[in-house]
Order: sequence, then structure tokens, then C-alpha cells
Amino acid sequence: MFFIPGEFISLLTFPGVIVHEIAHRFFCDITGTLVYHVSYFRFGNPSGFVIHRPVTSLTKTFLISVGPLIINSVLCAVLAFPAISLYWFLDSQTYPWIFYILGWIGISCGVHAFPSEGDLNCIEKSLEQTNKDSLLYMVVAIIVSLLTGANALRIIWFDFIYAMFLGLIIPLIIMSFMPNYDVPQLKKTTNIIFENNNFKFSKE
Amino acid sequence: MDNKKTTNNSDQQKINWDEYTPLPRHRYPFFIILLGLIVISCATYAFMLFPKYLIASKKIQDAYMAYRHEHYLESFFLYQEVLEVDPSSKAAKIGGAETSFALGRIEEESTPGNNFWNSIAMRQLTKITLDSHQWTRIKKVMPQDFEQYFGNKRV
Repeated sequence: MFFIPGEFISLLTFPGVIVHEIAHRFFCDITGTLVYHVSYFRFGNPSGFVIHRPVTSLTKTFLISVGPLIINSVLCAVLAFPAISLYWFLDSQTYPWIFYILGWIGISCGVHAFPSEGDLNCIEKSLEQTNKDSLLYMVVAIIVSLLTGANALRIIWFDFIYAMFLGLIIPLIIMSFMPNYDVPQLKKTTNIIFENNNFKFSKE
Repeated sequence: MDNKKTTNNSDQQKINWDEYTPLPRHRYPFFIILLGLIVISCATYAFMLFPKYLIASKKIQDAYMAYRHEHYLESFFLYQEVLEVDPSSKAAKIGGAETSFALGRIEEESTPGNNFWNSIAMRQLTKITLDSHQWTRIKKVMPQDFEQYFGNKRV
């Protein structure tokens, strides 16, 4: 593992940062939380932020903080899969430029899917004001612990691993539920003819 | 790398938020809308490709499994279907060649001297560079005489 400054990674993966901030803003808007300032991208730490009115409800805080995890993860899975499948499963010898763009935006989204420490601090503060016996408290507390762990593992590029995981594992899971393919023509045919570089099935 | 959405409650509780004008809801700057449109267009395009590549990836797996179960003809045609989606898929070409050589062996037993499947296999391998593990796979099923047609092989 080697160290690359966070600002440099943010610059390389800026679409993910912007989508992350849009997701915060979007969840602020749908939860009716007033937003005062948004920096969608800047060269520095943090690379983007949203200033909104403090939220007292744990559900709202959770949604606003975890919103990017949902939106960035979905975008990563959808965008990165065609690019990853072409490389990973099909081992394609040609790689159209659009697939580089899809892969880049997809992986960028995946890399910036995790809520930052600031996001998690907001949830933790909200947790302190919530009834500790409630189911919501327990669920949120578990998720926050997992996300805190994931954040700490960024030092070993866990965010990149997660992005690759999304692009590869989710399709693999879908594939495991898909029926097996066969060649129905083979069951009906008695003869296979090779003609004009193509195979034809016939009953003769 | 941190993307901070943060309202530090302890500091900001002292702020009188009513003094500030909030941004209008669901209104985004032009460049964000533009970038959003680009991302949405890419996502739509990727979403349209998703089933095609998902099915092709699944067919590669099924073709390999069919080969393992010695359903060579089925495996061969599944690989051909993958090649219709991505004509430059090295995995499908090598898999197709492997099954063709396997079919060639059966062909050799039933009609000696007939090289139809072996020639199909060689056609699949045209202009392909094989890695050592791919070469090992092919070598397992390929008749020994055909090795002369491969240049610069490294094991």
C-alpha cells in the first residue's frame, strides 16, 4: 500500500465527490431540512460540504448522512458493471472509450460512497439524544459502527475495494439467481452446417 | 478525501439560523445540473448495456460449466452467442477453441482424418496472445501436431 494525498484522489475522482454532495443536498431537500451553503467540489479537505440547519430527528440525520452511501453505491454498481464485465468476465481485446468513462464515473461514485467522519459525527450526536432502547437506535448504532470501521480502513484503500466490489459482486449475485442458459436449437436439430462463417441448424 | 456534510450541533446551536437565507429547495447551479445530466445519461446508457453484458457474463460461466460437464456442443454455441455480443472477447474465443478441440477429438474417433472442429478451433485462436494458463488449457485438448502453428509460446 502506498500513500497518495486525499486531495489528489478527490481531484481524480471528482464526479464521485459532486454526486456525494448532491446526495446530501437531495436528502436535505426531501426531508425538509433547510440548506444554507453547498460546496460541491473544492481542492482541499473536505473536498465538499453541505451546511444545513441542525436536525434533531435521528431518522432525518441518518438519511441525510447516509444518503450518499445509497445513491453513490447504486450509481457505482450500474455504471461500473459494463466496464468491469468487459474486462473481468469477457476479457475483451477492444475497450471502447465510453467504457473508460463509465468505469471512471462509476468507480468515482463508489469511492466516495461512504459517509465521512463529519457525517458520522452528526449521526452519533443525534444518537446521544435518542432513546437507547429503541430498535432504530440499535440499527443505526450498528450501521454507524460498521461505517466507522469502513472509514478507518480507507487507509488500506477500502473505498476502492468497495467500489470494485459493487461493480463485480452485485452482478455476480444477480447472475447466481439467473437461470442457466442452454442452446434450444441443439435439441431440435439433427445437422449443423457451417456456412459463410456462421453455423446453421437444420432438421435434415 | 473527506466529503463533509457537517453541522456540528454544539457549535451551531449558538447560531441564529433565521439570520441566514436558506437555498431554495431542489434548485441546483447550472454546472451541477449539467454534470447531473451527464451522469444520468451515462447511467441510462450503462443501464441499457447492463442486461446485455450480464447475460453475456452468465453465458460465459454456463459455457464453461457445460464444457466441464462434457456438453461440448452446447458449450461451443454458448461461447458463439457471447461472441455475438462482444466479438473481441478473448475469454469466449479461448473457451470456444477449447471446446472445438474437444469436439475435434470426438470427431477424430468417429471419422478419422476429418479436421472440421480443429480448424474451427484454430480460426478462433487467430491473432490471440495466450497467457501461460490459457496455453495450458488449450494444450490439454489440442492435438500435438497443432503446436507448430503457435509462435513465441512461453510455458
